[in-house]
Amino acid sequence: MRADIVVFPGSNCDRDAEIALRAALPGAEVHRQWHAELDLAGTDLCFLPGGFAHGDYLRAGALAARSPALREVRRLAERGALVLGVCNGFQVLVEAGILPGAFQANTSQHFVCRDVHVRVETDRSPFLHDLAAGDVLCLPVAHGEGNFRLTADEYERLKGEDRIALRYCLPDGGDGPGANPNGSVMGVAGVLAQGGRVLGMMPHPERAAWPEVGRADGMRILAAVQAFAEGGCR
Amino acid sequence: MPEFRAELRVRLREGVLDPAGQAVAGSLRDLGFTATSVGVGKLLLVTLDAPSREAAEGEVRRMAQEILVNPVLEDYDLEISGG
Repeated sequence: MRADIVVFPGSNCDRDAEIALRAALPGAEVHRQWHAELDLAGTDLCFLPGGFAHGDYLRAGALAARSPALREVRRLAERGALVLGVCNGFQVLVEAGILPGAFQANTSQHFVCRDVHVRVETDRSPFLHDLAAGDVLCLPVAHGEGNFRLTADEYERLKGEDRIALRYCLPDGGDGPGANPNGSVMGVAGVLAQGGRVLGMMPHPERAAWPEVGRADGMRILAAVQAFAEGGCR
Repeated sequence: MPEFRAELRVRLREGVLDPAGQAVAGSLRDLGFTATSVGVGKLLLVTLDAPSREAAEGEVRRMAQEILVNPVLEDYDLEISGG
């Protein structure tokens, strides 16, 4: 399989993503590609990394979302390949309209950089099929504008379509004060596009890929896509 | 005391490098629009109670001076309504 990481001016998680994907996807071709020379023909997984694409000027993700690179990503998504947007990558997918919603500054008004727990809400996605609804993952977040907003109607629609992927929770998987690091609506930490092949999430699976540093839960998402890409669960 | 509403428009001074404006202009050109330049500024809406329009304006100008505007880089104009 082939995984490509899009590098925008201002991306800063692309190298972490490359190293983690190489470890997660043995035998896969993994490349970082500069946004202006993006070639996604033959890509099975496109990873939009964290950072501050195009400086996050205007709004987080707004300029990258309207750049030629995102036209390629949209085309890739339309042909059914996998797209994973993490942190700023999630913001870009939302600004591009590939995923619903919008982002505001964290309600705490602070940049939040710490481990959080998220509860898996569905396994109906190539990213989540190795997990079960109710599983709890420990993953780091690092963002200032992670307060994910949906209208009440949008939220109900996504919930009805089983497109809420991850929700912030307490370490035991329950809800309660302190679980939600940024004020996101109903604690939503990640959402899926229709069909489950596009996932946007604020926590960083690529920063939780190493048992040696005490965090490996991200691997359960990153490694899951290989079976899909190699035909295991099509 | 009557309530006033101040609209403070802050923009970069002529000649100050505006990387945000340049990035937005580049995106507009990518989308096929013809924008030769874009300036990115800020709009601040302040409501305050003051005895008179003049007092309200004076107060907001002090806010601008003390915190809202960086006089080295930025210019602003101010409109007061209400009262």
